Amino acid sequence: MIALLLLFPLHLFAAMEETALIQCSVPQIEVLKVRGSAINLPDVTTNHLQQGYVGKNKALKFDVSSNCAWQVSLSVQESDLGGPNGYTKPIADLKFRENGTQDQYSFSQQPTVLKTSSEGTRKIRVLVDIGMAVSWEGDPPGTYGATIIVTLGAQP
Amino acid sequence: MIFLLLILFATSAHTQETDSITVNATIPALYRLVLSKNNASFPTPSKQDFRDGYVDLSRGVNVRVYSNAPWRLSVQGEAQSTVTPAKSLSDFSWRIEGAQAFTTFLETDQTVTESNDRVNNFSVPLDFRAALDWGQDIPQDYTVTVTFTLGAIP
Repeated sequence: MIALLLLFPLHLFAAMEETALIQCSVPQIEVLKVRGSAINLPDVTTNHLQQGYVGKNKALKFDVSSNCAWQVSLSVQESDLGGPNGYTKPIADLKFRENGTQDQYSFSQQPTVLKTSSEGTRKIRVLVDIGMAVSWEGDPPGTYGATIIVTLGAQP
Repeated sequence: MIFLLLILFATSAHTQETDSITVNATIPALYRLVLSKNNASFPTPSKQDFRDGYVDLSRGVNVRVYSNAPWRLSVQGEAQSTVTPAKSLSDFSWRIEGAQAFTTFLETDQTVTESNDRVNNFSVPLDFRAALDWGQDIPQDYTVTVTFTLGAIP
């Protein structure tokens, strides 16, 4: 008689436990898109020189999307607005304000905060009025300009 | 046995985003002049004025000049010819206040003053003189239209 002893490794059939941990790390995502290719302020007239200002409302338009609290700052690349025959118009003569608000700021090479949001937003459009201080005695005939830099970042 | 499946979904983090645009403004040569008044009247001539041969109107008009470029202020006159006998334009003259001599009006532009400086509300006060003649100037009103022009120095 042959005794057949089957030793069955029961432990191999014990219930198995497997855990899958899926993690998705969402980074800070910001999208900024400036609309248009150039801003041309209105032709300066005697009335502008009398008023001391020439401006264009909603001259600068850009769209902001961000998944966290954000702030938008404006600055300029150049140290002045250029000018004819060695004359240079101060960069501070270039002004901006968010359309519909009263607070106006002068441009500089250092970023100035224009608008903030305490939460993420999906493609909101920001409208900015751009202007320039002008005067009879200060501004000889010529073409003046600068490159505006829009910076979108997380709130510190 | 525990299997740990870790799927990490991440992209590189962006700390800030920038975009840029140019802004331009052109300022042409601009000129503006403002007259202190559009009508100026000489004092009623007296006997002494007739003896002197003229009557003066001091600071008959003050021209205020605004310019962001070199400028020239010119003047010309036109005598009203509807009255008889008409008074000649050459009977009328002008000078910048404080100047010695009067300059007879012409029907063409004469330079009053000019400058290479940019100016804001630069004042040019002018005196006027009307020559008087016992035999010519009968009692009536005489009028001269004076036209000022502000522009570039040619």
